[in-house]
Amino acid sequence: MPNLFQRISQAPTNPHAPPALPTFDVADLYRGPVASAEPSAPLAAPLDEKLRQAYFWIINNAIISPHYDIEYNEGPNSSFVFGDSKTRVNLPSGQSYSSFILMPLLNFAARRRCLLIGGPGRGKTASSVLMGVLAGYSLKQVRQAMIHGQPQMTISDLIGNPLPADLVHAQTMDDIRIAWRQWLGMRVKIVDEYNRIPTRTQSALLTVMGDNYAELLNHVYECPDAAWYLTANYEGGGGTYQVIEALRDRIDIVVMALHFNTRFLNDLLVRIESDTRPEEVVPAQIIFSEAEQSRMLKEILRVALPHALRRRLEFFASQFEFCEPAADQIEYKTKDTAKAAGQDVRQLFAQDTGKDRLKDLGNQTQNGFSVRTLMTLMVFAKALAYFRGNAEVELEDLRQITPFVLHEKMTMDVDAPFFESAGNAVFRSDRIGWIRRLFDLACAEYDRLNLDKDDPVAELEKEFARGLEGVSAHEARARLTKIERVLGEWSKGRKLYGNMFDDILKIKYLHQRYTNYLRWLEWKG
Amino acid sequence: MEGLVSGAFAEFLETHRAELNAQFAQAKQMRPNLDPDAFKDVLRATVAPIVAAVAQRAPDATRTTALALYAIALDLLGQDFIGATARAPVIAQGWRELLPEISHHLASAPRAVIGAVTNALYNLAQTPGARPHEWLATMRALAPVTNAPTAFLRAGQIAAWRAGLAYFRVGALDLCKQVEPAIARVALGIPATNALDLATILARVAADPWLNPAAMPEKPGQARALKIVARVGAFRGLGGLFQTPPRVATAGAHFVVQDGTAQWLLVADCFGATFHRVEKIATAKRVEPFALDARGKIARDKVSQTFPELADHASAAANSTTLAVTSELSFAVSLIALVEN
Repeated sequence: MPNLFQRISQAPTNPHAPPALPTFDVADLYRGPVASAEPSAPLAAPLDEKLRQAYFWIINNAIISPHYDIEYNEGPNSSFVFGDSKTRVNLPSGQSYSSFILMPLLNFAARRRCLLIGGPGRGKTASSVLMGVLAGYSLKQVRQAMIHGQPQMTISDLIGNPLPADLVHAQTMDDIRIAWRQWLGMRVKIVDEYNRIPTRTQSALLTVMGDNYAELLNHVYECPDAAWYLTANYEGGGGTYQVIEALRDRIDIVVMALHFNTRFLNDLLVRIESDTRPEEVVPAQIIFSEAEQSRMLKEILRVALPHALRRRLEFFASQFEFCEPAADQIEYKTKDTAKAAGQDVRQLFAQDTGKDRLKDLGNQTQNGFSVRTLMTLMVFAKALAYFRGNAEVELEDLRQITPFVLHEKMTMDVDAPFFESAGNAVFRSDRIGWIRRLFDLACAEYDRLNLDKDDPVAELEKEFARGLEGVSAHEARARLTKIERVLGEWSKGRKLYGNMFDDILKIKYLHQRYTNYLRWLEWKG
Repeated sequence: MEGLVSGAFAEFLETHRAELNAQFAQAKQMRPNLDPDAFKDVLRATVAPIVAAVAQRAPDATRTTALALYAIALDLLGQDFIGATARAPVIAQGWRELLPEISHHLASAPRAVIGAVTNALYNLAQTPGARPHEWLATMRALAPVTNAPTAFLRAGQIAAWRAGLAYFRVGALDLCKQVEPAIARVALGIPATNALDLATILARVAADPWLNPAAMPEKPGQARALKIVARVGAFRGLGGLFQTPPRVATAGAHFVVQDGTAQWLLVADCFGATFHRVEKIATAKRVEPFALDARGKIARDKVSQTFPELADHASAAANSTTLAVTSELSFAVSLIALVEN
C-alpha cells in the first residue's frame, strides 16, 4: 500500500519565471512627459461612449450638479433613515447620475423636447446653451439664435419677417421673400422662459414644435429635426401667460433644476477666480456632428424593449384611463369621456363605490396617457439604456425615466385617498417620487397577479399572432368559445380595474377578428 | 500680448486668439495654479524666437509649429518643467538654444521634433551623471548635417549615449551603422582630422568600452596599462544609492551591485555609468581574466599594477574587459580596465 504521507508534490510547486536582466531600447530616449506624435485622430469612439464622455465632462467641468438622484444598483446597497419623516438616503452601488444633466443630454440624443424648470439662476439656460455647443454650433450662434420669451413677442419676432421691399412690389404672395429667423434651421432650439410668450405667439411656436415647420404669408419653412430646450421659472404659475395645453402637451420630458449644494462653494470660487466659462471650452472630442446625431438616434431606436418589460409598461399604462362611472358603453368608460362632458373625474370616482380606492392606481390621476406619451416614454427608455451602454432596456431604466416623461402628463388628484395615507402626503409635492411609486405599485400588482406566467390575454394574442391562414371554421369557433369563457370567468364578481379594461377591450378585438373571419369563411363556402 | 511680441508669432496669436485662449482656459481648469503671466513670459522669451526662426525658413509651417509649441509649452508649464520654478531648467535652455537652430526639422514635423527633444532633455536631466548640456552641444553640431528629422533624432540617440546614458551603448552602436557615416562621426564626436574609416572605429569601440571614439588614435598604441577608468556610486546620504558599502558580482557580461537592501545592474563605459534597479538576479563572483590580491595588485595579460586604495577589497568581479572592485571603506565601485597608454 503506497505510503500517502511520503508523497511529495512535483516541483516546482509555485512556478515563477526566473528574474531577467532589464533590456534597454534607445527609443526610450524620446519617451517622456510630452507625447511626441500629433495626437492621431482617435478611433471614432462609439457614439454611446461619446455621449457618456459628454455627460461626465459636463458634470465634472461645466454644471456643478453633484446629485445622484437617478440611482442604479449592482448588488446590495446601503441605506440610511433620517428624521421623523423617515427620510431614506440610499448609497447606490452602481453608476448613478444627476437627472439635471442626464435628461437634457438624453433629450439631445433623442431629438425631443425638454422643459427645464426651476428657480432663477439654477443653470437652466446654461444647460441648454451647452447642448447647443455640443451640437457643433459656436457659442455666439447659440446665444444669438436663442428665443427669449417676453410679453411683447410677436409672431414675426419668433419666425421672421417678409422683406419690406417685396411687400411693396409683390403682385402675388409667391413674390414675397421671407427673412426667416436663424433659429428655425438649427438642430438645437432653445426657447428661454417660454411661459412669457403671449398666447397668440405660442400658437406659432406650437406649429414649429409640433409639425416642424413655420408658415408666414403662405411661405413654409421646413425645419430640420431638432432637440428642443424650453425653460420656465416655475411651471405651476410663475410665468406671464398661461401656456396653452397643446403646447404643454408637446413637451416630452420635464426636468427640475436641482438646488445648489453649498458644500461645493469652492468649485464656484475656482470658476470665478479663473474667469472661465465652461461653454467656451467644450472639448472638440464631445461635439457631435449632424451625421453623428442622426446616427445616434437611429442606434437608440434600435435598442430592444424586451417583451416582458413591454408587458409591465402596458400594465402600468393601463391603470390610468379607465373611469367606470363615465359611460355606459365599455369603450367610452374613460376619463377623457368624462372631461369631454365637463364632468369632474374626482367626483365620478367618489361615486364609484365598492372598489379599493387605495389599490386602484387610476384613482390618483385625472387623466390617462396619450399615444404620444407612450411613444415618448419608450424612446426615452431606449435612450437611457443606450446611454448606459446596453443593447436592451432594463426594468430600472423604465423605472427611472418614467417620472420625467410623465411629469407634466399626469394630472394628480391631490384629494385621492392615496395621499391621505400615512407617509404619502409628501407625494403631493414630489411628483417624481409619486410617479416612481405608482410604477413600483403597478409592478408589485403585476407580480402579484403573476402575469409573466399566467396571462390569458397573452396566450390569446400569441395564438392570434400566428395568423388566420389555414384556420378552419371549427378552430375559429373554438377560439371564440375560449375567448367568451375567459370573459365569462372575469365577469363573475370581479371588480373592474384599469388593467382589466384594456384586457377586456383586447379580448373583444380578438373576438371581433375571429367573428369577421368566420363570416368570411362562411361566405366563401 | 501682441504688444510684447512682434512678427510671425504676433500674427499667429492674433489670428488664433479665441482658440488659444480656450486652450489656456481649459488647461487652467485642470491645473488651477497655472500662472498666465508665467506663460506669457515663456511665450515671449522662449517660443517667439523659435517661431520667428521657422517663419524665416519655412513660412508655410509657421502655424503648425506655433500651435505645437503653444500646446506643449502650456503642458510643460502646467507640470513645472519650464518656468521660474522649473524642475528641469535644461528643457527651457534646449528650447532657447537648440530649437531655433533646427527650424528646418521643426517645419517638417513640429510636434514630433519638439516632443522628442523635450523628452530627451528630461531623461538626461533625470539620469544621475548624464550631461544634458553636452548633448545639446552635439545636437547643435548635428543640426546643419542632417536633412531630415528622422536622421537628426536617430543621431540624437547616439549623442545621448555619449552624453552619459551608458545603457544605450548597444543600441547606439547599431544606429551608428545605420545612419550616414558623416552624421555618425559628428554624433560620436570624431574629429574631422581622424582619417580612420567609421567601420574600423566602431569595431574597436565595440570591443573596448573604455575607448572613446572622440579621442581615438589612428593606430592602436602598443603600450597598455591597467587604470582605474571610473569610480561610480556613492553613499545614499550624499545623493548616491548605497546605504552600506556595496558588494559587486557578475551576471553574465554584466555587473550587479548590492548593498544588502537592494540590487542594481551597473552599466558603465567611457561615457558614463548608470545603475538600474533589479531583483533577485543570480550572480557569480569571478574575476577572470583579471587577477587581484589582497594588496591591491591587479594583473591581466601580463600587465600588472598595484592600487593601494584597493587593498583588502571587499568584493571583486569581472567581465571580459573590466574588473569591478569594492572596499569596506568606500561607497564607490572602482572599475579597472586595460587601456592604451
